[in-house]
Order: sequence, then C-alpha cells, then structure tokens
Amino acid sequence: MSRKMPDEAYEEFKQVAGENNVSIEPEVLETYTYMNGLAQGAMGFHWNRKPIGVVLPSTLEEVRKILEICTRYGLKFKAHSTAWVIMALATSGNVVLLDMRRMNNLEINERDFFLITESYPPAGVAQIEAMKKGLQPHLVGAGPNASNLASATSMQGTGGTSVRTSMNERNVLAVEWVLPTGEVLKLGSINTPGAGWFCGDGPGPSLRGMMRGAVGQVSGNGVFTKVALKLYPWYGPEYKGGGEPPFFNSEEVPNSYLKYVLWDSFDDEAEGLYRLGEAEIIDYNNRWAAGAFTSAMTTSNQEYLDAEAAGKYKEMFGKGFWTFFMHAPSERSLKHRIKVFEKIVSDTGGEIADPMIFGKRSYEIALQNAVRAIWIAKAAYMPTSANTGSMPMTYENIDQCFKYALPISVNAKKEYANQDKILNEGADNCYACIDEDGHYIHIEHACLIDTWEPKGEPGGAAMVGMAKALSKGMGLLYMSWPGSLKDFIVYLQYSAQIQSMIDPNGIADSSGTMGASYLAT
Amino acid sequence: MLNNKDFEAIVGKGSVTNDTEVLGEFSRDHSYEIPRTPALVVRPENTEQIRSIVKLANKKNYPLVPVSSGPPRFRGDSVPAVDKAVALDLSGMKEIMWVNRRNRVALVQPGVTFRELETELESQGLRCMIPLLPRSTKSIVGSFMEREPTTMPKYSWDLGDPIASSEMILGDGYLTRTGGAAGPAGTLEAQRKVGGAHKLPFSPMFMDVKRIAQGSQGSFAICTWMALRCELLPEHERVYFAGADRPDKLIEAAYRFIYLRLTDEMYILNSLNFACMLESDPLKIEELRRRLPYWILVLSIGGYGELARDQFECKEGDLIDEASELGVELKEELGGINESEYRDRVVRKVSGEPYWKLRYKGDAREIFFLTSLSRVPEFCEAARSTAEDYGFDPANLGVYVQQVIQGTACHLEFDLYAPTEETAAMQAFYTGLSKKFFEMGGYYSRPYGVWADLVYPHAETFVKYARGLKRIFDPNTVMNPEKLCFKEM
Repeated sequence: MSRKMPDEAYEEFKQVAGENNVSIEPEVLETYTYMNGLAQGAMGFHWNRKPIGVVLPSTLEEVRKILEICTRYGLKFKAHSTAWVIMALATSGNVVLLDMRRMNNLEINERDFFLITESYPPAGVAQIEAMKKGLQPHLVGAGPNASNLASATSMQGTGGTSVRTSMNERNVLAVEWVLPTGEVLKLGSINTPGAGWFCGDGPGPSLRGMMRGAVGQVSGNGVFTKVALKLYPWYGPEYKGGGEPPFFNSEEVPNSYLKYVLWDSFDDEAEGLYRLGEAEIIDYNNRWAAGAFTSAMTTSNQEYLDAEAAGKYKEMFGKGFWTFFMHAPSERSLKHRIKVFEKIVSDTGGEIADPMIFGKRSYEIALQNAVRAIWIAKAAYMPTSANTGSMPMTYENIDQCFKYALPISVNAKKEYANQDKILNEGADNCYACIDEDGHYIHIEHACLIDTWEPKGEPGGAAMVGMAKALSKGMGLLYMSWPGSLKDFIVYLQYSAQIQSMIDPNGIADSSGTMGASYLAT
Repeated sequence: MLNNKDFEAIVGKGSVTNDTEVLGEFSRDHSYEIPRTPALVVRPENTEQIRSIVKLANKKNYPLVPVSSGPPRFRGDSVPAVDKAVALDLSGMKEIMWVNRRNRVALVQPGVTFRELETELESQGLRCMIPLLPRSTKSIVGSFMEREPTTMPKYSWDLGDPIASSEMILGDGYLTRTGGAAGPAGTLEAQRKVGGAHKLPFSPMFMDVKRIAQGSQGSFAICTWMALRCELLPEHERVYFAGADRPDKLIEAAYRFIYLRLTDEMYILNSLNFACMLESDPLKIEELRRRLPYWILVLSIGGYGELARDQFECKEGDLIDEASELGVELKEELGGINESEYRDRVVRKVSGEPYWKLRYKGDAREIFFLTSLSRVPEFCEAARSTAEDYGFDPANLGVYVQQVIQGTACHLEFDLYAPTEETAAMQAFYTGLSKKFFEMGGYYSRPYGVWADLVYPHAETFVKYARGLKRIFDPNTVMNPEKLCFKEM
C-alpha cells in the first residue's frame, strides 16, 4: 500500500537535496505514475504505482544520504533517469523516486576511447560530444533520448550499431554504484587510486557479474551514479541536420554507403547475414518489415491507415527488409566494402534497394536510424501507442533466430492477428540486428497493439511465442530462462542471496524486475 | 584427515598420487609465492568426476586447487596457500568438443592447449585469440579464466573475451552454464538441434557467474569446458615492424591503427623481449637485441573471407598511407628477422622449449598491470630508475605492451630476467617496483601474490562484497582457499 511520506523524512530529504528538489505534491507525483514506455504494451499496464515522493539528487553523497533516510524511515527507493521501461517507475508501495536528471555530467576520454557519464545524460547528447572528437558511443534501439548509464547498468542495451559498437552489457568499464545499504561499491580500475576508469573487471573477480546479466535490475539493486563506457570510431564529420522534425534534412556523411536489402526467404537472409557479419564491413544494421516502416513514414494514425490501405509499403517490405550502413575511414576502404557487400547480397539472392525508393522520407529514416538511432522507437509506438514483443528468442546465433525461432513467433502472431487481438500489420514484423560482426544476433518480433482497446490482448502473442519456443528448447525473452526448471529455481536462489546481501533491509524497489517477480512466485 | 581412497573411489587409483616428485611440481613456481606441497594430486577425466570431487571436498572440508596448465608456471595462483590441499590436475582433459565454422566457435576442455586447438581450427579456416607466444603447456581455459590478454586488440571487445559460453562447477558443487549455453535445452546436443551454438557471451537474467569466476584464480568455480569465439583465418597476411628509440611515436601509431581497426596482431615489445621470443640461446639473444631498435611495434594485416586479396590490398594501402602520415616507417625485416619468419615462429604459435621467458637468464619474474597506453613511457621510466635504485641492471628488463578492450586500456608487462640463484635476492626489487607501479596508478586487475596486498586495502567495499559472493558460491571455502582477498575466511 502506498503511504504518505513521513513529515520528518520529507524535511530530511529537503535538507539533503534542497527544498526545490523534493516533491510530495499530488500533481507532481501523478506525472511520475504513468509512462507510455516499454512493457506497457507487453504487460498492459497503464498506470503504475504512485510514489510517495520524488527527490532530485545532484551528487553521489546526496544519493547516499537519501538511501540512508529511506532506511531510517522504512521507505523504498527507485532511481529513474531518462526512463524507458515502465519498471523505472515505482512498482510497489511506499517508494521514493530518485529523479536523476541533475546528475548530468559527461566526460569524454578521447585518448582511450571511453566516456564517463553520470546517471542522466542521454546517449544522443553523449554522441554529439563524442562525434566532435571522431568517436561515437553505442546507441540503443530506444533512441538517443535514453540514458546510456541506465541501459548499461540496469537494462539491456542493443541497437542497430551493435554490429560495430557491441551491446551495453559489454561496453561497461569502471562503475560507481551506491548499494541499497548506502555503501559505494566501485567496480574495476577505480579501486586503485590514480588508475582511471578504463576497466570494469576486478581486481580479481569481476563484480560486474552481480550487477547484471543479459539484463539489469532497473535500479532494483541500487543507484548507479557513474559509469565509464567504451567509445567507437566515428570517421567524421559530426552529423548535421536541419529542417523540420520529425524527418529533418541530413547532410550527407562522407565515405558512407546506405542501402535497403530484401531477401526472399529466412534461409537466404541467414546466409547473407553470416557472410556480411564475418566480412567485418557493416557499421549499422536493422531489420524491419512493412508495419514498422509504415509507422516510421507517417506522422499520424490517419496517415498510417491511409498508407496501409494504399499497400505499397507492404508490397515492397512485407517479408521484411534490412537497412545497412557502412562508414569507412578511407575511400579505398569504402570501395572494397561496397564490392564485398554487393557480392554477398547478390550471391545470397538478395535485392538492394535505394533508400530514396519512397522519397526523401525513406532516405532520412534510413540515415537517421543508422547515425542517430532515431526511428526505432517511433516505429514501435506509432500509431497504436504500444509495442509488445512476440519474442521467442532475443539473442543467439543467426541460424537459430531465423530458421527455428522466428517461424514459431510468426505463427503465434498470425493466430492473434486473425482474432483481432493485435494489429494485423503483417505477421513478420521482426526487428533484428546482428551484433559484433555477426557473432550473435538480437531479434524482437513486434506486435502493435492499442492496450486501451477492449479486445486487445497485450502480451498474449508474446507469451504463446515464448512458450512454444521454450518447449522446443530455445531461450526466452532476454535470456530469462536458464536451464531446466530445477536450474531456473537454483539460479533464482543464487540471485536472491545476492539481493539479500546487497539490500539487507529490503529498501530497493525491486518488485518490478523480472527476477523479483519470479522470486515472488 | 585426507583420505586417498575417497578420491580413488571417484577417479580410480591410477589418477590419484602422492608421489613426492609429482607433488613437488605443484608446490612451487616461478613466483615469490611461498612453496607449499599439496597432499595429493588428483586427475579427473570428466565433468562428473570433478563434480563428485567438489561435493566430497565440501563434505570433508578438503581444499581444492584447480590446475589446468602444465609447468613452468609463473603467478603463484596454483601454489596451494593452505596445507593438505588437493591439486586438481585438469591437464588430461584434452577433448576439443566441437568446432563449428559457420558460427565461428570451438568448445574445449580445460586441458586443451593453444597449439592443439590452432591445428584443429586452421583445418577449418578459423583462428582463435591467443596470448603472446604462450608456453606449449598453457591451457586455453586457464588462460582465459584469468583474463590473459591476447594479441589482436581489435577482437578484444571486452576483457571477458573470447569466452562465449562455459560450464562451471561452483564451489558448492552445483553445475551451471553461462552465456548462450545456459539456455533451456537440457544438453548441448539438444541446443544444437534447434540451431544453438553457445555463442552468447552474457548470461541469463541478472547475474553472470562467468564474470564472477573470471580472474578469481579458481576461488569460485572450476570451468569444465569453454566455448570460444573464433575468427576467420587470413588467406593473405603480412607482419610489419616499426622501430624507435623512444616509445612515443609507436604509441601514437598503435592508437591510430586500433582506431581504424586496420590491424590484426598489434603490440609493442622492447628489443630484449623480441629477441627472447626469436632466439633460444642467451648469446644469440644478445646478438639479436643489439641489431634491434629499443622499441618495436609489431603488427599484422590480414585478408580473409570474401574477396580476401582485395581486402588485404586495401588494408595494406590504408596502412602505408597512415604510417606515412604518422612518420612511422614500416618494415618487413628487422634485425635480420623477416616478417615471414616472424609469422612462422610467433603469430598464432606457442613457444618452443625452453619457454621464451626462461631463455635469457634461466629464470624470470613478471610484473604486469593495466593502464592507459599513453602512460607507458612514465611507467617505463619508473622501472628503469627503480631498477637502478635496487641495483638491478635495467638491461635485463623485458617489456611487453598490449592494447586490450579495443584500445581502451593496455596490459603493461615487465619481465625481470635473472638466473634462478639470483631471484631470491631480486625479491626486494620485485616488491619495490610492484609498489611503485601501484602508487603511480598501475591497476593490478589480476592481483597475484604481493599485488593483492597492495590493491585490496584500497578496495574495502569491493572486498566485502567479493567475500560475500564467495560465501554464496563456495560456502565451505574449498575452492583454492586464501587467495586474493579471501584470506582468513
């Protein structure tokens, strides 16, 4: 049950963060209770728990003191930075939300290819600063508005540039982590005075292993106040665009190559992806289908419906298509890459399409996806306001995803679309990107759904897809099913022991994370 | 009281020994760890035997020291820190369990060495990441469980690489898997039937036992197999050398080349280490080093996969242009060593006998840590001046600089060469230099021996929670007790 914040606690929070940085006003708290974000569709949540107060810390020390106050008054806490998943809000009663927006410092170490970010800076801001120095951070599919720290420490972290910029579990260097006890746990090289932030492992064992696995705990295990993340080459110049939102007009990126590619079958697609991956030539890749493309191309629900009725996008992209972007350090290198790219696509029966195929908009969508990760989020939320996944497998190798997992989820989705429980925007609306030169792949099979629609069944197709995949021995959403049922339980027991160790007073609002949900069951 | 029969019942009589000579091999190494003789050496042959041994150890409180590489060993991590320990010799588990070209992956047991795997991989057009000229007895699993740096920094995405999946027996006897192999299908075969290839490097949900166990010197778990990410074998390959009297320009070049992802192999050596790798006789080592510049950047470019020749020529063109821009002269021959000879003897190769670090003076001690590549010159200067302070001839210092995590950091290694009879006298210098590096901000990410005493007093909260994890995964502290920050638990 949500309670009122004790007056004494309120006074103490004000002393720590300043009067203007604490709120218990109902109008303010209401704004921290709703989010049109990820998992809203999957779970069907519209309104979450209302926090009993919001505090905006500006320093590590203030975060520590806030957690101490929470402990003293038996309050729970949840840290919230740019907020993408609904679990970033309070998921249980009696929660004080830490809005981290005042912790927005960012430092670029150009020499050693990493940045140090506090909790709030969005990835897009980091990217603008990094590009000035010929570098770029990893940008997740959630877009440039997402906090890179939150993604790296507490959520997941894949995006279209993962083929070159990895995913955020693997981009983490040193970490500054305030545990629920208020202690500051440092991971990696910052444990040695004067060493720097270049490494997140050790000394000795790597405690990154208790911070997160394929996913993090969405602040259910503390507050991450600073993290160093790898930066990757950007062969310049920095991205520039003008014009009107949402499409803008981008300046051309020198030494780059941007195309759409279509394959007729999953087998050919898989073959092409294996070969493109190991050729080490791709800098951005993203698979969409007609539904997502139509969402990206349109600016209102009516426009979407009109475009869908016209049918031209479905005709072109009904079986899914890829956007590939290459950005080379030299003309010579670009020439070689194009030669290899065209050969592989041709060998595997693919068709290369000009990104201008549907005019300037389709070009801008491709380019801004590739460079700024702008459009994936829009495609996921327009026009129906919610995206859920029919995801039998979010990670593994290309063959497993395309030849085994995806056919299962396509069928599961068809069942639900035929019953009007989800939008019938085409059974194959799979998002995918190969990571790290094709060493593994991430896929999400999207279902668009309006969760306010009475007939809508959020998450149904996803659950059916997952269950069928599990029964065939494939993984689940974000690798959340380790081993057999027995292994799964043991795994959770270890996780619970770690959670008890770092949060002996149980003040972290961890009930929104999957692990805690499982523990509750 | 340790009972041989307990172990014989699990692995058979022939796989348990208390022969003095054999025990002696596991009692000391080329480090300053205090020698301590284990009570038994046990040689399991499979996962089930290891698991039974760990369960037995928990029941009877037997300390276990897992060892997967053969001698000579250097870091003291496999020297028992407590009496009556059982050395678990895994070097006989030599199966290469699976190589899959399509998914660029290989599964190996703990006893498989780099030479054994490379031979198998080459036949399938693959290569694996490999440390700099490892000794022939070096276990792949042992190497990567200890986060050993490898020579191709562009493939070092993360310090945990190149491990994809793994199987671990935790200190409490529970068998678990990490990465993609942790998925729901019961067996590896069942996973492969639905297309699985054990390639994912991260583990399900909210924790990753691989990360916790890596770098722990066997304090948490025993790895019974490891899936390794592999890369394409070049069809066209060339090594280049760049020499200089000072490291600065070579450092600039290394930064630039990793930024461009141009090179495969890339590291900096001083002339002594270069000569030790190429020659086996001390006199010839001296001769060769005299012909060499003091600092040498070694790099290679490769053409592989689609249009391999075209790729090679493209990289070669870009490399030459960039080197010219940087004012770095690239050579295919240095001190009489031709690039093809270097490839034949060093690139993806293991050391001949004796191991290259033992060739110059008969013995050596290592000091290594992570730092920023840009700080290498100041650490080198500190090494030189500290050596002089302690009366150690700086000419006997070997240096190896290896970028890791795609250039984010570098492994900086100093090899202190001395005859065996002088190594005891050298200990004060070793300790003093280690301390000096720590005070300068050298990060002992793998704190062997005395380095643990430097690092952990500054990492109080880290130690508290590392010990907490040890209690969770190894509640009876049977796994290599008293190492790292786990003393007096």
